Amino acid sequence: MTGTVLTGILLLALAFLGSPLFAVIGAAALAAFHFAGIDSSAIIVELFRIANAPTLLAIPLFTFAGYMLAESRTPSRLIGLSQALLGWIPGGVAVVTLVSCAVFTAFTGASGVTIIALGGLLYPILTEQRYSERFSLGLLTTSGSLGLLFPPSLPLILYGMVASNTRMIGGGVPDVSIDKLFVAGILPGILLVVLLSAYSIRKNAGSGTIPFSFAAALRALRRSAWEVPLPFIILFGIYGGYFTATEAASVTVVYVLIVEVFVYGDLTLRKDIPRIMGESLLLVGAILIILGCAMGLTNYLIDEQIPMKLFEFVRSFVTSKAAFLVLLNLFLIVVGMMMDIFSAIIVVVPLIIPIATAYGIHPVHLGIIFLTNLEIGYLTPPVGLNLFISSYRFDKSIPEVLRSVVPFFVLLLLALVLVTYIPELSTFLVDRLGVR
Amino acid sequence: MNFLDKLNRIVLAAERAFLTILFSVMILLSFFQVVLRNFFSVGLVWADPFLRLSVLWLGFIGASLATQYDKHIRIDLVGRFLSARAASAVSVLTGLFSTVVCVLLAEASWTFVANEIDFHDTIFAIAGFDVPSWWAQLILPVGFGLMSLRLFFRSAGTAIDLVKGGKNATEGPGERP
Repeated sequence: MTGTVLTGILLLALAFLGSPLFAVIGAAALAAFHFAGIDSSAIIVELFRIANAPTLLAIPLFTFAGYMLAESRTPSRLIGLSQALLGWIPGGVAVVTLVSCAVFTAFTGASGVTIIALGGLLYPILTEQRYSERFSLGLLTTSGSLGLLFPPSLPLILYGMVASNTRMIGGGVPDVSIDKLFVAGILPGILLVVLLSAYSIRKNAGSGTIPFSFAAALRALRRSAWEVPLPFIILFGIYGGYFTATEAASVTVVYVLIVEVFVYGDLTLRKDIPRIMGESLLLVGAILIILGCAMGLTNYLIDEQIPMKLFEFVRSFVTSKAAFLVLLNLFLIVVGMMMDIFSAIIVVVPLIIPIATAYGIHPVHLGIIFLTNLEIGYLTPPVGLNLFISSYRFDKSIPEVLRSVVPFFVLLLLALVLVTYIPELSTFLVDRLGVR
Repeated sequence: MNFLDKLNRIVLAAERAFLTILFSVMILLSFFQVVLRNFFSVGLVWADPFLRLSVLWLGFIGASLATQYDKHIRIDLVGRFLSARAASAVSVLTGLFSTVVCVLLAEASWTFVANEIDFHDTIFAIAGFDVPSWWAQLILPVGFGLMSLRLFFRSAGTAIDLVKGGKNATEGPGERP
């Protein structure tokens, strides 16, 4: 027992000192199996099981597609289009920012690339239209992870994969799939964008607008004519029953590749594409190695009935579902302060699913709560990724960035409360469309 | 270190070339499957397991490259509050810790592969040829092995620089990808 506790403390210390998380998790698995007297090759047996997950292929494919979009001139075309369509609203440029960042983040999987790719283009537009510096900074920092509830975002896929690999108390498989999650995120995602837009419009009623012109709108639409269909191809492809989420990933990659290389000529096949492949696969490798190392540990925790014990512990002082949800959100906010979204999903979801489902929370609803919390986690110190990327990209100090995000942070908390206590936001479309 | 540096560059080039080729094949094959399934209602039986196992290969080589370029996911907290020298010292500690973990996992993977060789299991068949499982699993010891070597030499290099008090002690692991 003391051995376990000491090992745990030591590993936590190593994690906070900045050890790669896959090594910390791998070490935890090695230690757990050692103490249990099981040969360490059993960890590898579990690790190898990730190759059984039918949706595994979607991860590298969607990541690569997102990186191609980020490296092409899609960001500028996307902003041009939303500007032509929404710029006439008072405070409309802020709405343009929110909408274009949300769409873009859905495809790039919220790896911080949105602020780099779109922020640099949007910041001067916001300044030009007399938006205050503080507002613009807060807006762009917040927008960097907005949209991770929209399909086909990487966190949604990863949550689906990890969740379907867990077991509920009693042994059942949670009722969750990537197809369901893709639909479940749509209304909560729209809620976030609408809330932030309403605030931005109110706050900036006096700022400059871009008069609407039908000709300009048509021009912008024509310029991005090849990119606009993409989300619809994915959604109609999946929900029209033409292909699975993984097949949609494959179609997306081929479509984006052809459009960016041969239609727009933004990327070259011989130079850019291999480089972008390499870069996107760095992220894929970094995520998969954590996922692989966590497989053994998760299996051990389930064998030892740790989720069951945790549930009994929690139940001894939290009896109602409503109270549990408060506790869950507080816990997840703390997780989001410390961990990035991918590691958090891999490590925390297997423990949370059995407990939350025992309180009667639907695993799809839980997924949306989880991701909304982790989206807020992008803005919270000490490790909120968006704060640092924004500080670096716009050359502002961290305290300055922090001050700028406060109103947006409060709005996101409000949205979190709505998403948490109105499960229909997450489940209505899933039930209505009868997604399996 | 010069020889090792050269060797590392060769391995790196091989890894990148392999990734590009494998991933290109995967993209074409998976798209081909979609076309076959939707328009002809057929499919290659071996394609799905092949693709899933290939993701494992992509992942492990990607992780090996992430080690080279120091792109692994970590809690990036302490480094911000330490002096450059203290941060290097901490990175030697965490690097050596990760090296040990990778060595142990490489060893565990090798035991796993050795068992599978004895079992004579097959994983799928292409054109009548049964592919032995351990071919697919070989990437596990190789991947952890490559990662442990890279982690070890990086930490050793940083440690040597620290002791020498060299001005390069705070620099990263070389050029970006």
